[in-house]
Amino acid sequence: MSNGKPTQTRQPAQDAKRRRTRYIMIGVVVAVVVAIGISVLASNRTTTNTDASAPAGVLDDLGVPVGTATSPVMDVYEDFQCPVCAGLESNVGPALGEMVDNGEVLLVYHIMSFLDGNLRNDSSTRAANAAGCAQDQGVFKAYHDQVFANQPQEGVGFTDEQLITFGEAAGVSDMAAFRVCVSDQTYADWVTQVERLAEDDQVHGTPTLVINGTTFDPSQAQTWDDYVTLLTAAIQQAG
Amino acid sequence: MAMIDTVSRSDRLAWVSTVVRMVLGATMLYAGVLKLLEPSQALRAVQAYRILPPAIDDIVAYGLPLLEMAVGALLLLGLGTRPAAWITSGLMVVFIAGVASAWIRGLSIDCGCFGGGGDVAAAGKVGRYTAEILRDVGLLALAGWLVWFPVSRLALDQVVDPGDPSDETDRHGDDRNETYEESSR
Repeated sequence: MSNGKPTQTRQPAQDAKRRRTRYIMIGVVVAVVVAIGISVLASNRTTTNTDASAPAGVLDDLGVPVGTATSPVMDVYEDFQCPVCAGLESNVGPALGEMVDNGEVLLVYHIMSFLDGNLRNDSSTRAANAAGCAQDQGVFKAYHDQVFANQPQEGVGFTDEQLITFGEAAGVSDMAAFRVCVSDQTYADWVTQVERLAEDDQVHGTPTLVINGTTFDPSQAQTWDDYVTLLTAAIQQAG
Repeated sequence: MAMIDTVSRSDRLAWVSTVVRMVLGATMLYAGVLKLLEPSQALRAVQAYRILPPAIDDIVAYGLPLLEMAVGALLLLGLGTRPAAWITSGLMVVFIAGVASAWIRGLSIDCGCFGGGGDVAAAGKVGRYTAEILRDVGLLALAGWLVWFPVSRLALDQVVDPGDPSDETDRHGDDRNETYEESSR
C-alpha cells in the first residue's frame, strides 16, 4: 500500500493465490481459537460434572428438605446475597414457617450462588457452603434464617468469621467441626452442583418458588401481604 | 504538494485504523474469554434475556464466546479485518437490540457482556442499561470505522495480501493508486 510497494500491476493469478493464502490463514486462526475454546469448555464440564459430596440428609436433587410433610412440595431457590430473598424471608418466612410446623408443606431449599458472578465476589458460594455445614449439624433452617437476617448491603459480602458467628447463633453444637467445614469449603462441589441443577431447571433468578413443579407467579402481588395471601392459597390449592 | 497530502492522509488513516483494530480486537477477545471461563454464568446471562428458546440459549451461551474470541483474534492480528469488522458490527447491533429489548420489557438484568449476567436488583437500572448501550454504540462506531478503512499497519492482511481490492475504501475514490504513483517514482 502506501508503504512503498508498487502493486498496481496485480495479476489475476497472483491475486487469487494471495487471497487464497489469506483465507487459509483466517481459517487457521479461527480453527485454533475455536479448538482452544472448546477444550476449555470441555475441561470445565468435567470438573463440574463430578459427583459432589453433599451434606447429610439432602435429597436426590441435592436440595435441603425442611419440614415433615410429604406433600405438597415447594422448591425454594435462593441466593444468600439476593436482597429480594432477604425481603421474602423477613416478610413471608414467618407464615411459611407456620405452614411447615403444621405439616402443610415440605420446603426444599436450593441455595444458589450465581450472584457471585454479578457482584464479583465469592460470598454466595461460601455462605451456601456454610449452610451445608449447618445442615450436617441439623440446623440448616436456623442457619439460613441467620444469614438472611444479617445480610449486608448488596455487594459487601460475608467474611468467614461472620459465617462462623451465624453458626453459633443458629445453635451449631460442634463448632470446631463447623469452623473447619466453613473455612475448607467442604461442600463447594455440592454448591456448584446445586447451581447447575437449578440452571438446568430453567431457574433464572432468585427468589423462585416452585410448588409441586409449577413456578409460583407473584406478579399480582402489590405488597408482601398480598404475596403471603397468594402464596398460602397456591400451597393450599396444591395440597 | 497534493500528492504528498494524500500520502500522509492515507498513512494517518492506516495508523488510526491500527489503533481502532487493536482496541476493538482486545475488547472482543477479552469479552469472549470471560464468558468462556464461566459457561454456566454465560448460559444464565443468555437465559435472562428471555428471548430465545432453551435449546438455542445453550448454543448462544457456548457459541458466542467462541465467535467473539475468533473475531477478536483476527482483529488483533489484522487478518480479514473488513469481514471481522462486519461481524463485530452485526454483533453490536444484536447486543444493543438485546439490551434495549430487556429494558423495554421491564426486565432488570446484567447484560453479561463481559462475563457476569443474569437477573440483578433493579436499583441503578437506567444508568446500567444506558452505559451498556452507549458502550456498544461506541464499539459499533469502532467496527464501522474498520469497515470503511480496513487497511492498517502491523496487520497480517498487508503482509499476505497487500493492496487487495476488497480492502479498498470506495468512498473517497481510490487514493491508493495515487499513493502508488507517488511511491513508484
